[in-house]
Amino acid sequence: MSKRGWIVLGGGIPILALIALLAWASISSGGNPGGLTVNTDFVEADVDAGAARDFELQLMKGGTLKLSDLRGKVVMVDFWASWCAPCRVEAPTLVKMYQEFQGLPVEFVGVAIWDNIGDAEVFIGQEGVAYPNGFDADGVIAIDYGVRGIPEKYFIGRDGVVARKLSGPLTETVLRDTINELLSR
Amino acid sequence: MADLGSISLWIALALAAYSTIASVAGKLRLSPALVESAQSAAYAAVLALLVSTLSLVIAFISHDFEIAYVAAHSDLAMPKQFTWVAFYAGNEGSLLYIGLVLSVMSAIAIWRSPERLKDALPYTTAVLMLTLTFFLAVTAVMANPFDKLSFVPIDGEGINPLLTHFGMFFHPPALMAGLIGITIPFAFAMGSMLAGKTGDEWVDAGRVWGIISWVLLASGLLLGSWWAYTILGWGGFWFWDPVENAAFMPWLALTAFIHSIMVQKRRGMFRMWNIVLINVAFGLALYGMFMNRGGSVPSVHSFGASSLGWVFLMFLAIGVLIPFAIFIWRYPLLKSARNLDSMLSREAAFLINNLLLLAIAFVTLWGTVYPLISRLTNDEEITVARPFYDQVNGPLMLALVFLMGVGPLIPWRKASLSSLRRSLLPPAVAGLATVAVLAALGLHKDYALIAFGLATFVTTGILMEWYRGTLSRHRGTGENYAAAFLHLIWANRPRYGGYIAHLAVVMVTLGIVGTSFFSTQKDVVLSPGERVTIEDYELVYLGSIETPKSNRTEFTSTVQVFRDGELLETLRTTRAFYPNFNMASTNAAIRSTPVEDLYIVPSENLPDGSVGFRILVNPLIWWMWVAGPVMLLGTGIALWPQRAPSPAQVPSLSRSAVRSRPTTA
Repeated sequence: MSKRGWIVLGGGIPILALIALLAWASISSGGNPGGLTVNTDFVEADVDAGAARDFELQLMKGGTLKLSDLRGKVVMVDFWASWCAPCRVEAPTLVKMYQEFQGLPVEFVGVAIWDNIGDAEVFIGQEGVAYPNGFDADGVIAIDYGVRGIPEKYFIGRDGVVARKLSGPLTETVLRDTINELLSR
Repeated sequence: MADLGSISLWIALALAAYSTIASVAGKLRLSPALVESAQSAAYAAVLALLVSTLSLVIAFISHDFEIAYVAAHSDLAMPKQFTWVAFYAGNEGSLLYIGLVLSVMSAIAIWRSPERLKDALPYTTAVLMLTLTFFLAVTAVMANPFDKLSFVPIDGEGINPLLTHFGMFFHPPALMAGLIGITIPFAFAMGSMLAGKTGDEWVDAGRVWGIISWVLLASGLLLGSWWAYTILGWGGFWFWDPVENAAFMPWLALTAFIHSIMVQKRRGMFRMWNIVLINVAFGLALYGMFMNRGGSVPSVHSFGASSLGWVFLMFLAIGVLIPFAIFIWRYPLLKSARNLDSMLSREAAFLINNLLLLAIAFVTLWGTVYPLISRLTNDEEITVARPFYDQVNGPLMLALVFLMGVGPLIPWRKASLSSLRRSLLPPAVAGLATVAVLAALGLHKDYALIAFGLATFVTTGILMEWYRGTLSRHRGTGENYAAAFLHLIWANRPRYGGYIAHLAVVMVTLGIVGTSFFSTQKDVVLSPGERVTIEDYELVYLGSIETPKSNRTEFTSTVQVFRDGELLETLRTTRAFYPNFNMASTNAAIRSTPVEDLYIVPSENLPDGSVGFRILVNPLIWWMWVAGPVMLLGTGIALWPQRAPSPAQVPSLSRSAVRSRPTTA
């Protein structure tokens, strides 16, 4: 083959492959290539109603938390990162709602992903987050749960079954109604 | 105002589209009048876009909240000076801004285009205007900043507090201008190729516009880092965030381009390579805009409008594949005038520098697309974070710094070993001595040692060049040393301007090494009167004052800094809470010296009056911010027009001299 032919192949194939990859990623993630998304709008996604995959989380304030130990409570698992603006926006709401449900069988679990542990800790301090928060350094939990973007929340019923998956920053009303509905089940 | 802005936007779109078509048609049908009208349309588009921009600015100033964009990005409390920031704070406005910048740059490029590019200019104009047409069409149809709401809100949502920072006046506009600015050298290259002018005609215009985009991107990146450092409150400045990468990659390709274009300018070599480089730079710029507009990547930068992702992906595909096809078509014509004489030559050093820069760019590109590949192959998304980039790009960058020291010291064509030894030995000795001294002083971090050694190596080489040049000029002309030095620099501006830019790169290296390897961090909660020690500083927290402002509550904490029992400075640092955004922004107190920064940021104000502080000592980072102005100075000198030497001296012959000058020298 001529030198020109080699250049066509050597340059053209990688270019086409890259464009195809980006196009595929765009299709498979609904117009959002590039993996994890920042969920700026509130959306409810379908979940496979099945038992929540158990995980063990290294907590930032020390100790570990096992999801299965929370059986019997309504659990909200929140995936977030300190650099994500919508996560910052909703942090005070979560803090407030956590206080509101004190005394009821409700637990919040924060899972920081794709973040620097130091930044995540500062964030927790800044916002005065009281519920257990841990760092999913390898992204294993996020993959298990099929997290598509942050913030993203999984609501687990008292029976340990994932009931709802909500993306984007939540309002007090949505959060309160969702938890109350699960409590009444 | 909304109507005026929108109408003038549509007029600009029509002008750009007309200019594209008329330019090509005029060229093909040999109608100079048509070509000229195409150029006039390009100039007129600037006016139309100025009217459009001004309408938006006035809408902001007059709080015209009927316009959705104004309502979403400003409120009554917003200080007037932030109008400029609000203008490009969102997707719609920033697209309008890009259109304006591209049209202004294009008009200047067309107007100042050298005579010998006359044949290629219609095609260049068409490429420029086609790009402009694309941006204006997207703005007008899909993201129109003049779209109206069905009602008029009483107040707007306000500007994102993180954006109300001095750095925001320059960081986004500089970056966006730099990214879109790559279109100009690209258009000159494409125009020349389409016209079959595959020699060195486009080199000067390409170089000048390449350097302009390069310096815009570099300033944008530095200002963005500075913004992150002073306001984001994590004490760092670079995260390898996908959008940071998106601006960094084209900058790397441009850095390669502005070096290798010098080889073509001086020696008529690397013709094909330069076309490839400018195409790669343009492609990476398009990729960067796609990343940004796709709203797709987890990033502090996303605009979050995913419907635009597809459009930009298509533009990326077109913007890469068509130039590639043109390149293949013209490939047989792209022969360099000369071949490489020797691997021991400045040309070869430039070539290796190019390859290293591209390697860094592709490592970074790989890091940004790797999550997609992993999803494709394992159905699992694995994101690539900082350690990957540090580990792979770190050594490549050090090698680059080394070459930066070698390149300027070896001659063009072929170096003899003895001349190499003469010019390289002193800087090498200085570099090794630095390593030895630092190691003896107890510094045992390999990377840092190598980096400091290389920094000395490069700096010594540059200073030696200056010293030698000044000395020989002083001897030859009898000027005093200061005058001889200044005249030396002025006499060969591209070269000495480049040296100054190199010094700026050394400064950035110092900053990166200092903070990456020697930073100390402490997170503490202090009550008024309590003290804490970090390194050899002693800090006393005096107390906080709470000040309610119209749109935020500010907590100003006062901290006294002592060293050896002596009061150095009283620092004030603020944390502001914006109820509208449920968001806090911090302003770090920084005591900055060339040796180290003491960096204090309040991360938390507790009800009992105590404050959680993050305190950092960041060595050498001062140099990083000083590098910005130094780099601007160097680039300014390198770009300052050099008068063509011959015509002024022999005016009567100039015309024939120009004509008889061989075109493929």
